[in-house]
Amino acid sequence: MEILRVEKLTKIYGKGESEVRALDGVSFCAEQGEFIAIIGPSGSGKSTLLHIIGGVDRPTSGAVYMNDRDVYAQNEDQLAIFRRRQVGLIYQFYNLIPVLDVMENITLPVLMDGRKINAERFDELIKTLGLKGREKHLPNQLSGGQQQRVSIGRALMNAPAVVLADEPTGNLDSKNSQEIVELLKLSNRRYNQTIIIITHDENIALQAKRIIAIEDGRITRDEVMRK
Amino acid sequence: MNIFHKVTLKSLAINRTRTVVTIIGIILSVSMITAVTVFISSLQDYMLDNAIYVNGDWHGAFNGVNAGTAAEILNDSRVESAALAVGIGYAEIGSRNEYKPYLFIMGADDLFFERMPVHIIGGRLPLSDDEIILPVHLASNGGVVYKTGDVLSLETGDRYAGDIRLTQQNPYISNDNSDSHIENSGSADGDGNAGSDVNEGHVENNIAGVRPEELKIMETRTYTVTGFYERPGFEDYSAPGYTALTKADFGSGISGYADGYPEGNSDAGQTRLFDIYLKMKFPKNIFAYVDESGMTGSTNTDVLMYSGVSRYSNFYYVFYSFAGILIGLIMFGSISLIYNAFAISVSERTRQFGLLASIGATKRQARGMVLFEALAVSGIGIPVGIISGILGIGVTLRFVGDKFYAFYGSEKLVLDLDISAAALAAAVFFAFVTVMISAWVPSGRAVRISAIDAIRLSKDIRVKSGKMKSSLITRKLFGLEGILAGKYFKRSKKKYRATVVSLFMSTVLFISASSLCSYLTDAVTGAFQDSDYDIAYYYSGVSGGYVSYDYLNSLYRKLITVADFSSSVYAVEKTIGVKMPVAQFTDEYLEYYNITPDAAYMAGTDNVANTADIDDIAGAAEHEIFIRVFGIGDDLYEQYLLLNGFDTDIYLDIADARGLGQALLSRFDASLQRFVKIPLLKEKTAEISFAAVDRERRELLPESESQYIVQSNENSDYIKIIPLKFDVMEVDTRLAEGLNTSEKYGIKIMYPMSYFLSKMNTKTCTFYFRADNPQKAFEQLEEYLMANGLYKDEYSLINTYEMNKTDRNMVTVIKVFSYGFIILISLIALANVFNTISTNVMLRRREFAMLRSVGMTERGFRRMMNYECILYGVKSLIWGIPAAFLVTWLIFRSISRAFETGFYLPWSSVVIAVGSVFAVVFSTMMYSMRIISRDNVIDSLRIDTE
Ligand SMILES: Nc1ncnc2c1ncn2[C@@H]1O[C@H](COP(=O)(O)OP(=O)(O)OP(=O)(O)O)[C@@H](O)[C@H]1O
Ligand SMILES: [Mg+2]
Repeated sequence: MEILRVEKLTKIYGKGESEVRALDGVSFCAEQGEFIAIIGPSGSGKSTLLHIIGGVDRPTSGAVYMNDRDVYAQNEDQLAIFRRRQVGLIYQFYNLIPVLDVMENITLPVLMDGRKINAERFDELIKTLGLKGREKHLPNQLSGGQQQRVSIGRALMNAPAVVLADEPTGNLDSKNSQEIVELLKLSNRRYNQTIIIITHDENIALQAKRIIAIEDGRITRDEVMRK
Repeated sequence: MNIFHKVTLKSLAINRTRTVVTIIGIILSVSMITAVTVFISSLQDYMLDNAIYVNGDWHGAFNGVNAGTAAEILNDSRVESAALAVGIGYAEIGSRNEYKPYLFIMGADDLFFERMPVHIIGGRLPLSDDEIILPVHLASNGGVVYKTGDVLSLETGDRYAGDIRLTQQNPYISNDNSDSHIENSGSADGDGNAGSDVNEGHVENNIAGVRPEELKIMETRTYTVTGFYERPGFEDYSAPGYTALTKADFGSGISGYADGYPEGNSDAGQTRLFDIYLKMKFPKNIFAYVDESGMTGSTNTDVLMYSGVSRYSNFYYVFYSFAGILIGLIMFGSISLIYNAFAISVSERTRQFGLLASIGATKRQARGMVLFEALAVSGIGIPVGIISGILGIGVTLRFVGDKFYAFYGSEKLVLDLDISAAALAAAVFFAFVTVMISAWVPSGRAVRISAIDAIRLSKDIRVKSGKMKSSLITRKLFGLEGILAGKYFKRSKKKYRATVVSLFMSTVLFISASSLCSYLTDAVTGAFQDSDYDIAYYYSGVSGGYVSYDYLNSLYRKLITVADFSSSVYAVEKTIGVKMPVAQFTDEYLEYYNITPDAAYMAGTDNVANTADIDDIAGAAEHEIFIRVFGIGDDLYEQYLLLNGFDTDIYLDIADARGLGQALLSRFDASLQRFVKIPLLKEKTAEISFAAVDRERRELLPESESQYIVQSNENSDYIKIIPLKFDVMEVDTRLAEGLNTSEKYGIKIMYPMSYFLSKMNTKTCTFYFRADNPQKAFEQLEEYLMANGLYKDEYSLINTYEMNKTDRNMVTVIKVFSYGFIILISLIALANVFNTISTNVMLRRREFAMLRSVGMTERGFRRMMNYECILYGVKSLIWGIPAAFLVTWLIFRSISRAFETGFYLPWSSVVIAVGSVFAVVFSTMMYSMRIISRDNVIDSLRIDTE
């Protein structure tokens, strides 16, 4: 089942001389349950693409369909709800709310909805993340790897259809990095989630089922790995 | 509590200092707003107290109604209660006021004594219908003196003009004022028909022109005087009788009085008339009630107005607009503080807002967070502010509340705290609006933070190239650290602008508020009569003739024994118009004379007054000026001469004395901030002459005519020319005690009294006294004068000390309020600056940690911070001081329209302002740096808030 379709995405920053074409007509589709790695040199437009898919940045032209729904045809509030329920974003810098503890940070998307926390789901998540016993800790009391696991927890809490991760391991050593990737793979298998991960790490890229390479804002390669 | 509220509260808790300062800012502004609204409500209550004090506590009144009508009013269901008084009759008492020949006896019920303005001065209220209290003006105005315990036997009756019965509302009709007419008060009950309503008909205008009114005696009554009371507000000035009050018992119903006079009297059927002062169940209904009654009634306008029943009034306009301006200023000052606090809080959490947006917070939720923050801090700030505002104004009023009579009202009333619900509601409303306005704009900014900006953190850091050059001077003076500080300034213009703007506003507010205060104080003190005596007694020939020196001298000897006076002087005085050659006046005077039209008017010369410039005045040969000539009791004058080192041979020569003159012009010297004295005449000696009626011949003429001769015909046979010569004293030499009043300009000449009286005649003399206990001395003197027939009217004896006390009280009140205002506004400004600067430093923790990690020393930091402080201070003062001067100039312009004053700048406030700006900036900076220096470098580098 096709879950995501990206059509001729273009993103232009600036104007005139200083114009930067960060994305230049990018199109691709993703099926439910795919595990995709995006690679490419620095400044090629990977983050830009991810942000547009995640509904946090707007394309200059082109469209994103999630579950056949045109993401950018929605108004601001609908878009906010979309971000809250349909996607999970993970950043290189963990971007946690410093005043909230681990539990609150993880359950933030649920709390924002004003819904009740599904305790079972949270328990399962926190065990999987290896954060048991640290629920009441504040972000600055955690190591980098732990913080990243919290932000993954936040992205997964709502069981979104698509999880987007922008160099989630960029700040971590190889052991920690592998743990994070295992987590994502686990989630991909268990919930049949679509995962798109940007990485500079070849080892990680090679664990994906499909690799999309980007250069100068264009897709230069899109291949499915055999497993 | 939802998650957004939780995040907000936690952020508030983490930035504890800023939150506390914000709350303090809110408390300050709310308490100021509360102080204003509660003050207004207290003032309104004070005005109401005053209105009740003067007019009594009632809604509507009907005067001169008969018993039947009075009973109807009393029984009306709309009427809550009514105070009742019955007119018992007039009696002749030998008043010396020809328009007030009677005592008017009124019987009043308990409610009347309770509600009407009956203010006992000595003795007690009457307890039965054979006791009576008298108004004090019976003695002071009518010259009829009784004391408590006196028994009065009075022949009482009613006044008639022809057939028409007259009431207190009809002025006295005598032969002399036979052209006066009887006012249509609707209360003259002409037909004497007990069943009739109040007579609405006019009393013929000139009915009394034919013959004077007449008092028909009805009965004889005996009363014991139990006390005296202040001249009552319910007695018109033109009323023909002094109102004496006895107690009437209406317990058995009005009917007891309806029958009126004792049987056997020729007018036995005649009804008595009642005054009824009523209160409605619903005060609003009084207007309709009076209208519908078909009678001429009155409403207690002031009382109804100040109790909020009717609202058409200057009071509301003046005080509400005054309050509006004050609240506006306060809101302006506080919004800038509170706004800043929220703006800082939002910009500090830019990342947080973006992040929340990226994981799905809607705009409404983002705005809601800021508004919730506003609610949270108001939740503490507003109640505490209201309580402290009430406490503040309460304490203030406690100290100055008894001084407000200086502006308005009776000295006996105190402006005390009155907290009305409306005042509190208004305070809460304005406070809430202040906080919400302050929070709304930053909340809009929070909404606009997009997820992507937060994630990329792109907004704050982008710098336009080319702008980062630092000046050579900076480099020399402050080295690398200075350059870094300068760059920080340029990078985050917005952040430092907030600080500079708040410093700027504090400077402007502080300096202009203190100039306003200082100009106002000048204006009030400038308007004072600077008098060097406590009590003045104006003797005016009680016997009607001219005064003689011997008589005055002996009177003076008597008066000084009456009370314990510390010093005293007596002097006769004449004001004469004298034409003097223009060349004799100093240029300053001519210039002053020219530029101030009202001065020209006061000098009163037709030929010069309208001319436009000095040349014209100089061209005119003469200029007329009024001169006050004094004759001082010889022995007292001698004392004065000796004390001041003047030659008694010259100045005390009774046959041919030289006068001692003071010829001054006082002008406001802006540089000294006070009035200075400038000579008015060029020469040190002068000779003048003026025309007066020949004393011997004058005796032959009626007084009115002699006046006419002096004014119109100088060559008349009755005129004699009197020459006077005098020496001009140094400007700083004072006149004899009592004569040193502060006119703007003028000539005063002193002579020995016997010399004066040999040249001129007068019917009056003034006695000036000083006493250690002026109030007691005044009372003793008053009593003595009254007892000896020397007390003519209220204007005979003036308690200047009391009047000056009033002026001093006015200055105290102005000072307390304006300095209170300045201090509070400055505190708000201070909190503002503290908040902005400390946050600016805190926001750069990470940057500082980075600098430290690459080896910047403590000294280097200090240098960097000093440079920043100087930048803040200088930038705000460069704009703030000129702006404050401009405002000061505007204040001067508006004040100088009403009072003479020169433009000056409040330099001491400027010094204080400059000093405090740097003090606040540096101490805040030091405080913040101390906190930061405790930081661990690594921890700060890991700070994830930015
Ligand atoms: N706000 C912006 N304004 C101007 N140009 C921008 C902006 N954001 C990104 N760019 C430019 O767009 C291009 C794509 O940036 P993007 O962040 O997507 O690259 P990236 O592939 O994620 O690189 P990296 O691997 O270094 O993270 C870059 O050339 C970048 O300079
Ligand atoms: Mg990137």
